[in-house]
Amino acid sequence: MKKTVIGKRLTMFSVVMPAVILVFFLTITGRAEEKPGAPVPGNHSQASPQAVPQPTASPQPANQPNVSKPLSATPQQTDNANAADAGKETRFGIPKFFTTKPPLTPGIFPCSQCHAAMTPNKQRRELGFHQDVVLNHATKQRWCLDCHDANDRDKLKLANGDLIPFTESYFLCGQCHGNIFRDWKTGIHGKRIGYWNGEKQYYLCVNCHNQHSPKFQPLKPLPMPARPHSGDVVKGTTSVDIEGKKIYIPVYK
Amino acid sequence: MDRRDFLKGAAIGMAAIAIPPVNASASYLETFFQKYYREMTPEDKKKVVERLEKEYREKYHKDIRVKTTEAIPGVLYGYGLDLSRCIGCRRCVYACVTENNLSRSNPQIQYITVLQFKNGEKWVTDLEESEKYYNPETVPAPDHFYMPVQCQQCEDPPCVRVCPTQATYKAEDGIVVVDYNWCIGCRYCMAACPYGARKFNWGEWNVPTDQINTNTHYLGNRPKIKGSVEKCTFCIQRVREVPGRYTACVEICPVGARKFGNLLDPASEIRLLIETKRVFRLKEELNTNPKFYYFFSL
Ligand code: HEC
Ligand code: HEC
Ligand code: HEC
Ligand code: HEC
Repeated sequence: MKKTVIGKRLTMFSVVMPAVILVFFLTITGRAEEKPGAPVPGNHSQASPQAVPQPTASPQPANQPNVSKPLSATPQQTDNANAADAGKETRFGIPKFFTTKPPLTPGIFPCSQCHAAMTPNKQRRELGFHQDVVLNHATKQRWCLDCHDANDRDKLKLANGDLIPFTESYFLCGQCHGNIFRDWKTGIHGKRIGYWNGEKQYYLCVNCHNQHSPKFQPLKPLPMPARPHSGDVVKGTTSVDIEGKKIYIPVYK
Repeated sequence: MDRRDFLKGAAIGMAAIAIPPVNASASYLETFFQKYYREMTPEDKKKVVERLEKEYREKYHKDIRVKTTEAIPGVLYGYGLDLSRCIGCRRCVYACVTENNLSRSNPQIQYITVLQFKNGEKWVTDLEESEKYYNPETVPAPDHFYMPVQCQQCEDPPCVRVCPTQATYKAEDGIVVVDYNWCIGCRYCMAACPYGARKFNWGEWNVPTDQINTNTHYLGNRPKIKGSVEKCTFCIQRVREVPGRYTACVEICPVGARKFGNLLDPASEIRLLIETKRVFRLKEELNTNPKFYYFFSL
């Protein structure tokens, strides 16, 4: 790297010709096609035989100041003692930050605006209200009041009878989906946004799963890439809004 | 004419081609003689950035910020992708295009390619059987599964080994970057990459001005140069911030299949998933040692 700039430009030239020839050769043999996985002969010979360092096996401790651990040992303050204890049981506490409020239909909360005046009916039945609630979640073994409290409709109810606010619905889901709950806390299931070495915001289970029919709904895929030699000409771009983020997609002729 | 004279003549001829015409603008000359990024002093960097920002302002009438943020010490970036969750919706492809200012056409450049496979048929060992031009009404299509492929940020990157000008290299935090000004467009690296992750600017960089992301990094998403190669940089302009943001593809993924973090931090999600899930890396037999881990949560 001590070469002078001019020297460097000349060196570049001396590699351009063989390069052009090689690339031409690769192109005509179809090797340079932009498809992941085009096998490249010669890669084997390039692969060094010596032991490959494993990044994960690095003995270096991660004691850099930048990496804060917002998840560790700070269970969220809840007004529910048992719920907070649940966080302490595992390696990581309950996260503190959430992207959104519970995605309740606007105007429906507090539920007590109607329910306070109603006598709870614990009977399993065809409902004359809440038509949009389709229970498709192990329906046979389940009824509304397994999760909603009969007397305080503004709260959710755990199996042990504890009441939790809607903002902590993950405790409810976590009772039956323990493995997923554990993965969710560490960021492996579900999604966190924000800072990889700082504060993270969590998506609630109910941001992605409808609590009553939790199967993830299929999505319309965004446009495919332009196919070579097919007349896919990019006419322009248009934007789509995804969770408040504007992204640009091609429009083909 | 003997051999000696011929060589002399050839050398002069080449020098004449290599040196720009005298009437070239000062800025052009400065660009032409722009130093190799890794040899720039902090002052050099400051000057180059100022010139680039000025050029961009004149050309695109926009304040494009070019950062030269250094790697964070003690960090080695790693990526995880949950194949049990990915549904092939391509949100990541265009979040990446938008964030990284990728040319929209002539040619269209995308860092992420999502491959579709049929259940029960050949896949990891033969990506050639995959379909990247799938387009059903909704995804996931019945009986199919998906695998996005992008730069695997190899610890032993074959692309870096073949680069004749060392324009592409692995930075301290493990990100394989390209010094676009130093790239001569030979495309050896593209032939060497077993993952098809490198893209070539055959044409002029083109992104509609109102769509330019003005937060850029010298080694990342700044406007590209015709004739240079580019590739995924783990959103270097985001992840090297303090604190570092997640990459654009991680944040857009509606199913939460994409994970990112510091491989040297035992509490990071990437380390935890390597410990608790079954992971594999693409074409491990080539000893490229990628820092991109595919895994199955289910
Ligand atoms: C598996 C537990 C569970 C069961 C069973 C359940 N719910 Fe819910 N329900 C929830 C959770 C959790 C929320 C809060 C979702 C949120 O945070 O947006 C909710 C929200 C609601 C809402 C507000 C929805 C809106 O539009 O925002 C209504 C109404 C409701 N439930 C009614 C019912 C009815 C009626 C039943 C029985 C047919 C029922 N629920 C059964 C867990 C359950
Ligand atoms: C506009 C008034 C109204 C609001 C607001 C309302 N509900 Fe109801 N809800 C009803 C009525 C009326 C019924 C009884 C329907 C029936 O008996 O056929 C009912 C029934 C239910 C039931 C079935 C069990 C039972 O007690 O009969 C659940 C569970 C329920 N509501 C939950 C909720 C939750 C949770 C909220 C707040 C997110 C909510 N409701 C808000 C009017 C309301
Ligand atoms: C009382 C136990 C219980 C609670 C509480 C509960 N679930 Fe479930 N869940 C189940 C059972 C049982 C199944 C399996 C249903 C089946 O396949 O028949 C299931 C299935 C699911 C599935 C898979 C659906 C599919 O078809 O693939 C998802 C997703 C899910 N639950 C999410 C949630 C979320 C989110 C919550 C919290 C709002 C929650 N669950 C609360 C018992 C529960
Ligand atoms: C970023 C979105 C997202 C979040 C947040 C999320 N999930 Fe999921 N979850 C998915 C997707 C996608 C699937 C796979 C598709 C499916 O089968 O529904 C899934 C699958 C599941 C399943 C089915 C079993 C399996 O492993 O496939 C359960 C149960 C479940 N999630 C529960 C939860 C619970 C409980 C939470 C909160 C603690 C949660 N999820 C948070 C996206 C999410």
